[in-house]
Amino acid sequence: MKFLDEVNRAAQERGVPEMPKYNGDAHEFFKTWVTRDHGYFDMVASYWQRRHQNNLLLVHYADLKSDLEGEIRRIADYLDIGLTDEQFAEVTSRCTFEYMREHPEMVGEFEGFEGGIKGFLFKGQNDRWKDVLTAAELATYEDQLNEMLSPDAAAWIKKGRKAFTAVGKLTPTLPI
Amino acid sequence: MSRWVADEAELALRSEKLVPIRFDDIESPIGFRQIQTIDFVGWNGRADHTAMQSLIRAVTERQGGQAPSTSSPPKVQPEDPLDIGTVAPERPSIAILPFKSLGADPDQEFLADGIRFGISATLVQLSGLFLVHATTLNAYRETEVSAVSVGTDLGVQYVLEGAVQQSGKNLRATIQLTEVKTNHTLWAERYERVVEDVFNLQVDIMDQELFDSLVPFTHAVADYSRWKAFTPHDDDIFVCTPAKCGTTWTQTICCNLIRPDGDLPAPVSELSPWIEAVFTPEEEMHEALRKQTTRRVLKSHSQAESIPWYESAKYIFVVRDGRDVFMSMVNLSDA
Repeated sequence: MKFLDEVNRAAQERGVPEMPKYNGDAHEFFKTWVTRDHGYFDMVASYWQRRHQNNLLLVHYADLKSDLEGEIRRIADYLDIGLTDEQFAEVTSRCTFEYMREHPEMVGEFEGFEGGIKGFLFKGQNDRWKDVLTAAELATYEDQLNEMLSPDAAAWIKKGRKAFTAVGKLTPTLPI
Repeated sequence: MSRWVADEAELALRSEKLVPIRFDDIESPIGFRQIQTIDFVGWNGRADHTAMQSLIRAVTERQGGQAPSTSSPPKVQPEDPLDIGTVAPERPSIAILPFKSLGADPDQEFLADGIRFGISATLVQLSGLFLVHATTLNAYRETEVSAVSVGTDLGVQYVLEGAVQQSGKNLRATIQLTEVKTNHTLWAERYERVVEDVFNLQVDIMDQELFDSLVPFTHAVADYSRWKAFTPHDDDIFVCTPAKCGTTWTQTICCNLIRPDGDLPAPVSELSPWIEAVFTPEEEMHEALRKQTTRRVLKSHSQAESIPWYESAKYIFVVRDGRDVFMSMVNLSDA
């Protein structure tokens, strides 16, 4: 059974709204997604507010893509896990997106998803939206971003850690 | 009342285990006046007395058990459907304020309460939403306070307000839902009906739009009550993300850091379950988690306010550009 069917069957039983299905019209789907009901912006805002807490680390997908070993070392440091360089290299080799897709025995089968793990870990590519979303839709996204998040948080969402090094803003207040 | 007793009572109140009783006809101490107190004034010392039966029932309920049945059920105060307990801050919560009755006729107040109770009964069935104690809210009856200040006082995310006016056979109701954090009116509607149609009015009020405003669609997959059976370990790691932001990636990294030799006893998806996901068998999940002796990695797609925050645990929040998340959701939601 596909993931969404299973989720929505459970939602029906519990009497809560179902997750919207994608019907082939990305623009229609975007209207649903971009509303705050979806929870993306709320969730970012809620953790961003707590960024100064000692037991919270912020990680960005773009940083995992551009500097996997660097991010793995940063996570290890935060978790108080000390490894040798060799071990870090081994862990990194098992945690590339490509390795994970090829190793369901390590990550999971994700049988509920179309295509299993290769459907769940689909492309791992960023910027695919550039060919899909219209200028008006991107403006709506910007509006939501600016309404829900501080300029620092919005910049971080867009660029990860680069947002701060690029403008020389590696401030001690940003534990990222 | 000594400070220690007050502290103990406060602790009991917060863990929803407080049952106040009184032996003398006195005012409750400040801070505890909003909780229903069982009246032992005039107790005859017998176990089948109304007061003793109420106490036994209250204690049993707070232990999560079934109250023992009695041969002749004691007469108790009518149950208030809003009377569910105090606020559990880790869950999304709502306060439904007493609806204002715009008119001097006391029957109209009855009508306003009836509509409010009808709505609340439906809302109770929504898992994830926590309703605030009705006796707490009665303090706000007929007062002019803003939804935001009430909501802030009570520590709830949402406040639902309403006003009902009857004029002859005509009934008018206005209902408004406010999000406390942002002071946004998420939803507002005015209804005009004839009095006989009051039950359909309740159904109409609970329409899809209000429902959707209250229940973000992540609730389709998340049931926050699942955190109740969760027992934390001091060194737990929580990977918290919006969906499709690198959750599995980060879980895989953490699991491999814990076991750098790569010898994972089970796939990451099993080792590191999504706590509030409705489709994981709950008992099995908690059982498997109890058996994990090495450092654990847990997954959540909830806001920070909706999950417990353990001081000794480590939380990792992973995010991705929203536009990339959208593209990934398209793939996930493709029927």
